[in-house]
Amino acid sequence: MNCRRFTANVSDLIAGRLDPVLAAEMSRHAAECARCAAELSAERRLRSAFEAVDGPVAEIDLRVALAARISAAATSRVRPARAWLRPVFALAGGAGLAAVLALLSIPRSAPPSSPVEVDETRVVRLVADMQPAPEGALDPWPENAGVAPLSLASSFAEEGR
Amino acid sequence: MGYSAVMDVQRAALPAEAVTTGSLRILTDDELIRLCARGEQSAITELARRYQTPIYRFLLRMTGSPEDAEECALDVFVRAWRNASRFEFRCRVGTWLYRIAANIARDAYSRRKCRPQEPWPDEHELARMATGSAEEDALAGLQRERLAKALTIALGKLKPIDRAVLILYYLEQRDYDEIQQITQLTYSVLKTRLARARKRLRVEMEKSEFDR
Repeated sequence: MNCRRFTANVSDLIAGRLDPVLAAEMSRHAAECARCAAELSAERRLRSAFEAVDGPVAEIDLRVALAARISAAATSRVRPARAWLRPVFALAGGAGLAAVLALLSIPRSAPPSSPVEVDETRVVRLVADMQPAPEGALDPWPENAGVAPLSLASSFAEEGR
Repeated sequence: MGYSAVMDVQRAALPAEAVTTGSLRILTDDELIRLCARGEQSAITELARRYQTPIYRFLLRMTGSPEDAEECALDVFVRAWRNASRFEFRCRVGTWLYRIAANIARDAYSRRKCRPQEPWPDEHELARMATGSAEEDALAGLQRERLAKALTIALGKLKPIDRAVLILYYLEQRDYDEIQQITQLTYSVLKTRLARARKRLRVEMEKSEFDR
């Protein structure tokens, strides 16, 4: 037992909310530690002050006043959504979702071209590199432009060598 | 499941005797809340009959004024009536009412700060309760009264949340689980807050006794 733990549990000790083992440990600690003994005494004083104010409270009956308040409040009471409105809300929600999806699926238009300086020598080189693909060859990858497609027959022939 | 079907389930959950005879006293708190959700005004009146005294007592400690406490207690039951359909039965109805009461007391405290300061709390009312019985030794009675006054004044100087945890712990003698549910604080935060509130209270009590 240390002083910090004692302070954290002192009110539970006096209230009888602790298990007997811990309570006995705390009592032993208080007998040895002057600071915690003072803490225990202050807590007892606080508790007796609470007991002093804890007297009977005058009986009240709110029921008549409450009934009047409730009657007044009943008119402004929030009611659950009417059942026939629910399909309408569902349809509206579905339509909204569809609109959002449609907007997302529209391909973005290319950004407006900005005036850029053209490197003519680079253009000439690119044009020279772009050889027309052999007839019948379909290559979807632009980075392969100008590279002659491999013939499957020739590659098999090479492997067989 | 449609709204009317939900209502049927709620109706089916109530004892037939209560429905046919209209006697609400045999119903549990949960059943009364279900009735409130259906718009049965007599159900909230029955709940008020059960809880008005402890709720009023709690609010009297929180606000320090019988008039404010009564007004707040009415607000508690009106709010419970309005929100009955949202009650999720995760805690006891009594605990829920205390939670509403703590929130209303906090709001009342904010309003009080906005308007011209009144002497807080109404010492006379609480001190009257603090006087001992005729058999009590006069000196001990005076001592108790002095302590009670010091405590009452000191409580009035604390923040509403600190006051609420102290009142729930010392006067209402609620266990930690229930105080957690009422104040929505975790266990460790509650323990820390309780320790700090106790310390502040002692300081304020010493000041108030010193001023005397």
